Amino acid sequence: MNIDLLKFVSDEKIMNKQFETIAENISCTPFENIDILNPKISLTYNVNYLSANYVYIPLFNRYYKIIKPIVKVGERIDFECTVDVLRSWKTAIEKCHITVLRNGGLDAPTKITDSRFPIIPNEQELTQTVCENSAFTPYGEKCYVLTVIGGALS
Amino acid sequence: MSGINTNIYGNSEQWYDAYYCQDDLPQANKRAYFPTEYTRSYLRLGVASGKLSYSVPLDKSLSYCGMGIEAPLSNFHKVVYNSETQDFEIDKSIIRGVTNFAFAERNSNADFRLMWDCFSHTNEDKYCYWFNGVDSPQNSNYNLEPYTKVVPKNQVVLIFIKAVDNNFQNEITVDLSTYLSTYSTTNPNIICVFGRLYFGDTTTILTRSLNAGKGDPNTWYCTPNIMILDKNNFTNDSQYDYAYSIFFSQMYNNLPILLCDARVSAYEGIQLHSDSDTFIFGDKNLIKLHKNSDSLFYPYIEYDNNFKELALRATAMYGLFFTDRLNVAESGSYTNENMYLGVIDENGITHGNYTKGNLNATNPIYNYNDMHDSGYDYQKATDNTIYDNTTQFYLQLPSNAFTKSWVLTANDVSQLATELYTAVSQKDPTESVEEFNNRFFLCNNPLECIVSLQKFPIRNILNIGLQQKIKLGAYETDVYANPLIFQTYNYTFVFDTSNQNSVYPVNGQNFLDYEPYTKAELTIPFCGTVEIPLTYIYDYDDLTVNLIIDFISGACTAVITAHGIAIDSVSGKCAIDLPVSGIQKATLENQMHSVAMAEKSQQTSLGMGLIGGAVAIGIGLATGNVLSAVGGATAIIGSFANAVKQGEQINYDLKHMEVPLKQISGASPAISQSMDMRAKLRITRPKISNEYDSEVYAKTVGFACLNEGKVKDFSGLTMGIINFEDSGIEATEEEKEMIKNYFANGVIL
Repeated sequence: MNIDLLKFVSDEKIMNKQFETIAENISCTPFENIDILNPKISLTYNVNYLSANYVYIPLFNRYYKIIKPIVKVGERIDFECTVDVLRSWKTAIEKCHITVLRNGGLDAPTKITDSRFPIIPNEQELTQTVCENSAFTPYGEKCYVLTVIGGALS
Repeated sequence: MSGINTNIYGNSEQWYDAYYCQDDLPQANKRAYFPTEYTRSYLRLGVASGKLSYSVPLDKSLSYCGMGIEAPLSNFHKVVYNSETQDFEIDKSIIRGVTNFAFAERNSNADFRLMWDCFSHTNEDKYCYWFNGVDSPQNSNYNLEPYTKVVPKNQVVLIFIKAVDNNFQNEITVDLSTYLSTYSTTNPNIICVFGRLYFGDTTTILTRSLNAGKGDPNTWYCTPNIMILDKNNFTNDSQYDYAYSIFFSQMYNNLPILLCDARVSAYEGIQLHSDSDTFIFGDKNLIKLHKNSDSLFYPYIEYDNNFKELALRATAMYGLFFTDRLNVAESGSYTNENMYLGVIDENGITHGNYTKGNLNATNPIYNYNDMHDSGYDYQKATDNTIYDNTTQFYLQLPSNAFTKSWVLTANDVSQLATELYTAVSQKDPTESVEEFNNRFFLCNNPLECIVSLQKFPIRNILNIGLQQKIKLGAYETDVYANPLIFQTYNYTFVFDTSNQNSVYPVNGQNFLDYEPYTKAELTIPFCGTVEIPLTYIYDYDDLTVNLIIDFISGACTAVITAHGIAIDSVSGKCAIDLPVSGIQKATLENQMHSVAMAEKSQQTSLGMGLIGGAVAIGIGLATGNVLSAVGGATAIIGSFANAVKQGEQINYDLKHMEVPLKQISGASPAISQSMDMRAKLRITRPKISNEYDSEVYAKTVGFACLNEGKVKDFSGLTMGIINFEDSGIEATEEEKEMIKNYFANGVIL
């Protein structure tokens, strides 16, 4: 079957990977039985192939990450691969419903409590506002109340 | 009509219709007929015969019963020119517990005056005292007929401001909203606040015009007038011992609201007359006087952030619809967001409260056809002991109680103490002590006459009647004091938590702005500390404290409301009992001084205790697990509450000790800094680590959120729970598990 050899130099968690093509339409032979999710394939040796870290197998319609490249005696390269589910199923995944609990696409904390947020535990910022026209004052003028016996309104 | 006091206002058959506008209003506004020729003489008879009392609201049959003590028109100040200091100053003040006023009609086209006059029963002379008068005193012999019916919806007051710049030049006259948006910085000295009345047909509320009263509607004068009913306690001349009225006759340009009438600027200020007294009105602590010449002055208030509320509250005293902008006065609906309506309490008294916008429809007077629709009955005493955060209540002291309470200054107390000793020295040597005491003081010991003496941390107690001589038992002293007429008084102060105040966070931006990370607490002196849910600070602008002080027991209760909803209350005792016993005056003063020093150190340590408590709350949040943080914080709050209680206990004990007269009257500088009796709102917020970088955090951890959608709607690091339904995915189960795990740990989209 034919495969494409690809290169990707960023985080594997990225779903929408943009690959650099190392070689296209290369013929390869499988080892014994192929596990579609974890295939092992064998290619004719070419020094360029060593820089590839991803494989695309059109027959299986999936992208794979190369986890174990082996250069064999007899000018062959073997690749042990595992499926990259994110890139392979990108189109379908994008249609999925998701409840997002953490998102780096936001630029600031939200009103949802974030227990990992780096606040300094022992420091607090204290501000105070005084209400200037609160009724109490120590500077009383007519502020004494005397209660006496008698003295009804004359 | 029911509920009319026909003794005062005559028979309803003798009333006749009057209209605000020339031909507009379909509703009749009845004018009451005072059965004698001169209104003021009937008032005189009314008081003499016991039908009317000073500082007690009139019955509901007269339109708009009373302005409370908070009203500018309840606080008159006489201005004089001091030739020594070469400046104007306030000489005396008249403060009324209730200012009764009524809309009245006057049968003369005479020029504008605001005046009062009195009728001497000895020589039949008529004297006039001019209020910002610019005309010479004239004979005031004319009829005044008060209205019995003023429908609130018949008129709208538009608030106007006259203001000058820092050099007292470039006067402008604009409505309040224009002043606030355009002129408050260029013209910060406000010399007059007045209102112009817009009348309208209530069936078509969309059109209102300035008075279409008598004469040319383009000149802005209007009838009816307002008559204020009161006794002048200003002169000590006993000739004038009966009621007469202050009234605004034929409001030429304005409804007076604050400081003076609007003609102040026509004459470059208010002129003092040699044969009359000149008055301004409003809160004496805010008013300043600027000298234009030796006989002309401007009263003014300097603009600050509180001014808008001051103007609104002063206008609300009339109990009418009012607004700050022209288009609303001309054609706004009664529930327009910039339309206000004054609140009249159940006793027919206004205190400056108002409703706004849609809430106007909940205001009791919104649907009044006249003031009979209120429940007020002048013959019934009020008995309100339940606090309702929409009404204020006054507990009136029974007038024939066995005890009487007086309000005095520190000097008065000293003078009274001196008088007691001199009174005892008047005993005849042949008379026994017991006989003397019983005869003079109605008890065995003159000091037993005095039930209590308390000092309140208030500048001036306002719920007072007119000055009289204090009587101890049967002995009349020479000390004048004002009797306490209402037992309780309600002070209201508002924390402005709106956007204008930069101390507060504008609104809750994220979880750090809310409990338990951020906390807000409000400390009210003498009462205690209350935690304020932050949502009230973020979502509403009006955190209000209603402080009710009982002047007999000395207790104070503070009810904290936000957006009209009472959220908490705390009580305490704010009065300090001064001991009255047979000790020497000097000893008393010594004791008072030592207490002041102790109080000073106590105030300082109390403040420190609270700050320490606030820091302790943050410790529980360090674990990163919110639930345990909340639990931890609760435990710490408990001990914090104890710390506050302890502080309160100390304060309470301290308040029972004496307080020196020196401290009060002299304002000793050593003590002044520690005696901070202002209410304070404290907010503690968490601190974010200096290492925090929002971009890095977004890429590595991601911000906690709860958002729903499709995967394609999101970007960046995304951690969440995915659902494959409807996706059309053809992957194996094992692959789907892998996808779920990826998303659970974070995928970069």
